[in-house]
This record gives sequence, C-alpha cells and structure tokens, in this order.
Amino acid sequence: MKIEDESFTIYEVEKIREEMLQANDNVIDMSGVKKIDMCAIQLLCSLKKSKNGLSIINANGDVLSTIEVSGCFAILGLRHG
Amino acid sequence: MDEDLALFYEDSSDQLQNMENALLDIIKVGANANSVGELFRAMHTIKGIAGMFGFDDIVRFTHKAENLLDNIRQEKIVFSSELQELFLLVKDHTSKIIELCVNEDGLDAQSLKEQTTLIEKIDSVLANGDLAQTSATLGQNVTLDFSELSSNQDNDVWHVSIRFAEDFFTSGMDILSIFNYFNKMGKILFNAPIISGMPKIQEINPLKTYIGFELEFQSNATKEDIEEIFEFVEDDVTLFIFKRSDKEAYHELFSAYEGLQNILQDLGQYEEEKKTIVPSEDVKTEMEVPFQNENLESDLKVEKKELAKSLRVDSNKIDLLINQMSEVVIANAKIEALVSKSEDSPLAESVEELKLLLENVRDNIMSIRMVPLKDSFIKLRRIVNDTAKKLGKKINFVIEGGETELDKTVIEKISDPLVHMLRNSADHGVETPEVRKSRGKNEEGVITLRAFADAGMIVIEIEDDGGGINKKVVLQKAIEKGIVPAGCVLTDKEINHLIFEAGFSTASEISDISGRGVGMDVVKSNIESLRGSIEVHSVELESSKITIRLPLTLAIIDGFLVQSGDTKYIIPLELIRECIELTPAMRKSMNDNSYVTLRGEALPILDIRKHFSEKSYPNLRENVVIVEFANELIGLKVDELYGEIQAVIKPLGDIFSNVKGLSGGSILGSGEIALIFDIVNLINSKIERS
Repeated sequence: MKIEDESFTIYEVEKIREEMLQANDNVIDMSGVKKIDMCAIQLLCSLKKSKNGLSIINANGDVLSTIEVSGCFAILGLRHG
Repeated sequence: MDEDLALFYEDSSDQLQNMENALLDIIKVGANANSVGELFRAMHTIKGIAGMFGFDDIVRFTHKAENLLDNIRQEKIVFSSELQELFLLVKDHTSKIIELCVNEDGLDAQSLKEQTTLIEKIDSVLANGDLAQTSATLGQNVTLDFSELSSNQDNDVWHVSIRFAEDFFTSGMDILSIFNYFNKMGKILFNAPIISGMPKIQEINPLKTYIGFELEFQSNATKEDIEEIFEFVEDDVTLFIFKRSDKEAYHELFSAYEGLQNILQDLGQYEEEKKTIVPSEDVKTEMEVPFQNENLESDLKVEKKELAKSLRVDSNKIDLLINQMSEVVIANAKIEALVSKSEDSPLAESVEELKLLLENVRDNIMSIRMVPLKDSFIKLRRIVNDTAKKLGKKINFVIEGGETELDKTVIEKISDPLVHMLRNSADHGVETPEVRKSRGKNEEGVITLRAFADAGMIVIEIEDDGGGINKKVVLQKAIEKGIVPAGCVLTDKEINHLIFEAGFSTASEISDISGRGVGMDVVKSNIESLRGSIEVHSVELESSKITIRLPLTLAIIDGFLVQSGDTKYIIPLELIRECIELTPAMRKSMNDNSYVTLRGEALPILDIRKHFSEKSYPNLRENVVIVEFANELIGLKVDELYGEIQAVIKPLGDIFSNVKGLSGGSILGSGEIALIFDIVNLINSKIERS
C-alpha cells in the first residue's frame, strides 16, 4: 500500500488508518510522504505490532531521520543505508 | 511550531522590521536619538523574550549588539556608515538565528561562523571605537557542541522515563520536540519506546497517546534542567528522572511500571551489577523486545486525563466576528434611535427584546477572546527562576488568581511589560541572601504575581518583599539624568513614579537582566495604550508593589452617554459610582473652588466644559457624574445625561494625539460621533492642577 499523502501527521492518521485496514497489505510504501510526526509514527508502530512481516519502504531521508529521533527506527524494522 | 514560539517569531519579526526601517532612516538622514533608540529597543526586546525560551545563542548575540548600541546612545561611539552596514548584518543574522531556533534546528556551522565574525566586529568597535582595527582573524569557527561539554563519566548519565496523558497529541505539543531539547542539552545514548500498552491497528484510536519512552541521557545538566524541558506540559506527563547510578530510583520506577525491569534487562540497559553503557546500533536492533511483553503497561499507573473539550479557531475569524458584532451594535443603535421617535410601542418592545439578545450575543462573543491569565503567568516563573539563578538570589515566585480571565489581545500586549517588571523585581527588588539576612529577613525573597477583578477592570499586582525603592537614590539619579531639576521637592509618590521616566535606571552595573533604563517607560506607555494604568507603591527596605489596572476588553464597552457644550461624551459605565444634579446650593458652596461637599466629604470636580474648551450655554442645568478609579473619586461636571449605551470603540485620528483625556471615539445610532473619556488621564490631570 502506498501512502498517498505528502503529510502524514495527526491530521491524517485517522484517514490513513482506515486505508491501512482496507488495504491489509504487508508493505507500506512511504515514497510520497514528506512530513511525519510522532502521532503517525505511533500508528506505524501499531501496524507493525499487528503485522510481524510488515515492511516500510522508500521513506525519504527527512522522514527516516524524524523516525530515528523518535527512537522507533529499529521497532519499525528500518535499517540504515 | 507551537503557539508561544509562533508569537515570539511574530513579535521578533516586527521588532526586526522596525530595526530595518530605523536603519534605512539612518542611512537616508543620519542617526538620531530616536532611530538609535529604535535599534536598541529591538535588540533589547528580542533578547528578553529569547531568554524566556532559553535561546541562549540569541541572548548572547543580541546582548552584544545592545552593548554597542548603548555606547552609541551615550555618544561614546559615532554611528558611522560602516556601523550602518554592520547593523544591517546584525539584523539579518538575528532574523536567521531566530528562525533556526524557533524551528528547533539549532545554529548550523555557517550561522555560527557568521555569529563569531559579527561578535568579533562588535567587540572590535567597542574596543577601538571603529571598524578599522578589526582583527585579521575574523571568521574563525567556534562550534558549540553541548555533547562535548558533557562528561563521559557514568555519573553524568540520567535515566528519564516518560509516559504521556492520553490526550497529549491533541494538546498540540509534539513529542519529537522534547527529544530535540534533549539533544540540545546533551546526548541521548539510548531511547526505548515502550509500546506494549499500544492497541493493534484494528483497535487503536490513532489520536490517543499510548507510546512511552525510557531514555538514557548523558549531560552535565541538573535534574531541574531536565524537568524544565517538560515545563509547559508538566500536567500531561508522568516522569521519573534519576541518575543511572541511583539503584533505589530504579526500584521505584519498576514498582510503578510492572514488567519494565525485564524489558530494560533484555535490552541490556539494567543489571543488578551495573555495567557501562555503550551506545551502539546493535542496541537499536534489539529493541523489538517490547513487542513480546504484551502485559507490560497493563498496570501502568499513568494518570489518564479526559480529552480537552476545546476547539482551535483562527483568531482572525474571531476578530472578524467581533468587528461584525460591532457593526451590528451600531446598526441596532440606529434602529433604537428611530424607534424612540415613533410611538409604535409593540415595535419598541421588540427592539428592546432584540437589544437584550444582542447584548447577550455580544458578551458571549467577547468571552471567546477571554482566556485565563494562568498560562502566561506560568511562563513567567521561568524568567524569575533564571534571573534568581543568575544573580545568586533565592526567590519564591507565587502566583495568585491565575484563573482570572482577560482578553487575549490584552494578555499578549502585557506579556512584555510583565517580563520587564518581574526582572526588575528580581534584579533591583529582592536582595541577595546575605543582605536579606543582615536585614533580619528570610534568606528567600518572595515575589507575588496576583490578578483579580475589581470594578469592571482587571488588576495585576507584582509585589516583592525586597529592599523597596530607595527614594534618595532615585531622586539623585533623576537629577543627574536631567529628568527633574536640582533642588526640586517631590512627594514620595512622585519620586516612586520617576522610575517610569524614559532613560531612567539606577543600576550601577549593566547586566543582561535589567538596568539599561529601557523598559519601565515602555511598560507604562504599553499599559496606557490599553486604556490601563500603572502605579507603584514602595516601603523602603520592606517591599514594593506595582499595580496595573486593565480594561476587560478592548472592542466594545458599556458606556454612559453625556453631553458637555456641543459634544457628546461616553464614560465607561463600570467606573460610575453615581450621578447627581449640581444644585444652586452646591454651586454656591463651591465658591469658585473646584470641590463640592458631598455627604460631608470633599469631592474634586473637573469641569468638562472648561477642560475641553466647550461652548458655554448660560442657565443650563448642570450634572455631576461621580467616577471611581483606583480608590480615587472625582466628579465630572457635564450638561446633559442621556443614559446607558453600548459603545464600539474606534481609534481617534492623529489630530487628537495631543488631546489628553480621550481614549477613543464611537458612532452613535443617530450617526453622531461621541468621544470616550480616558478616566485615568482625567483624574491625573485633575490631580496635577490641584
């Protein structure tokens, strides 16, 4: 599933959660996301908790560094490089 | 960006715009006291507010620029064309570092380089009086890396446990900014998000906060420093902050959060026999462990709060609503005026009903803008604490009446004055512990910030139990600075009020806290521009109290319409005590004095006709409206009394700028203009004349 919104924050989490539930996909493509906040990172953690094989792919540098600051980098199965 | 930072950003942008305008004036017509004063004020104000947010880079830089401007102001240094260019660079750099600081980016290498260069230039001018001698070593990069300041000893490693209230996300504060603060103060060695209490995607309410964190943080900061990071959200977080070496504190933490000990042990972050922490990537890859501990937070003793039932609305929308309501009030006044001329009583009744409804609507709309003073008061606590710390003083800051509500615009406008006054109280008022001890006082001084409603106005008091105002010193300084002529005899009250004069400062040493003689005059003019008043009361060696009175709101007032000569005037209704007719007997007893005896007491009378040079019509009935303000009573002698009116306050043009005693104008239902009295000013002018 590709997250289509450029901004993935508290304002979009409810809508994106619905989309995640409908898509029921094991891959989350974050290539379109330019901005993320803690509320959205929490939603990703919740999704990861529900799906052990979940992969988050194509997140851009800013999004990755925000996730790193949040301490959730490893929890979300992300790797450096 | 949170609301307070956004406000700081806006204020600073305005100040910098003023600075740029003044610089452009200087380039065009040369420097004068006003334009240099404008530059000085911009730097001083930005420094003050930046200090409130702990933006030390901005404080350091603006303090330097302020120093140079102070020298220019005292004519020790000439404002050369090189300095014009330098200050344009200073303005640009200040703007840049403000942006970096409010976006929590911190200063990058380029900005630090620029800052160092500019500070060196300023220092060179201060040392040599011009830029010619500027050191050839300009541009050296000084990197301020807090993490380097931190010691590597385990003793400097803190464990910080954070849990959030359920509605934390919706409160508008981003958890990421908290981590940014940590990274500024030191180094996060380890950050374990605790998510075991978090529901799966099918059950989660994505707006609620479930995540928590266990941090290992290396810094030479104190526990209080770390707690300050959470200052604005202290009610919405549950914290455990302790040194990593503190075994007992760990036990306390584990007894609060069942299962946490296992998690930290699995992550290698806790052992009965403690080992040195090595931050590494490996640690992060192990952090999926919390997933397997489903019941971890089931017994968390985190305080859950109800979701705040509030709605964020763009303040422009409220301003628009208030403006439109003002127009409705004026339109309704026209209808009332027309109906009063007709004899249609059912229509008159309907209009009366409509008027009452409109009054309710108006009050409700105005109440949207009313916010408790608590929030802005709490931020001031930090200023007092920081000031006390810098000066080595012990100060207990007490807030009373924080629930008192005031118009948001008024609160925004008094925030800077309050900062100035509290800094003054902490700096000049409260004595050092040694002095206090020698005076038989408690070593810890008390500054009280108090708010309460009084006669339709809001009173804010700043009281300290410090040394009070030394009248001798104040008078001597005022004479030295040419504010009052030598040999002048003044009352205690007049001497106290000298502190509000422009350029007055008694501090013998200039600090970055106060003592530059900018502030109290600005404070006074800010308060007066809000139709308020400021007073100071002081008992030498014992205490000082500054009392500010402010109107509840700025847009619409309940007024009382009167006429004097050919002009209609409005008196704010809440200040009126009573109205009396000036009987011939009273007039006779006045005997050409401006006092009448009312119920055995002398009441000063201000003749509005004379005061505003109105036309005089003989044999007209005369009335006296008695108003009370700050425990002073005064009678305003007018011709006609018309009654209550809702007045929409409109500003008066420049043509009225020299007319004292008027605070605005209003359009009446008949289309006529009425002028609104500035009662404080009228009382003061009456006192001056007496």
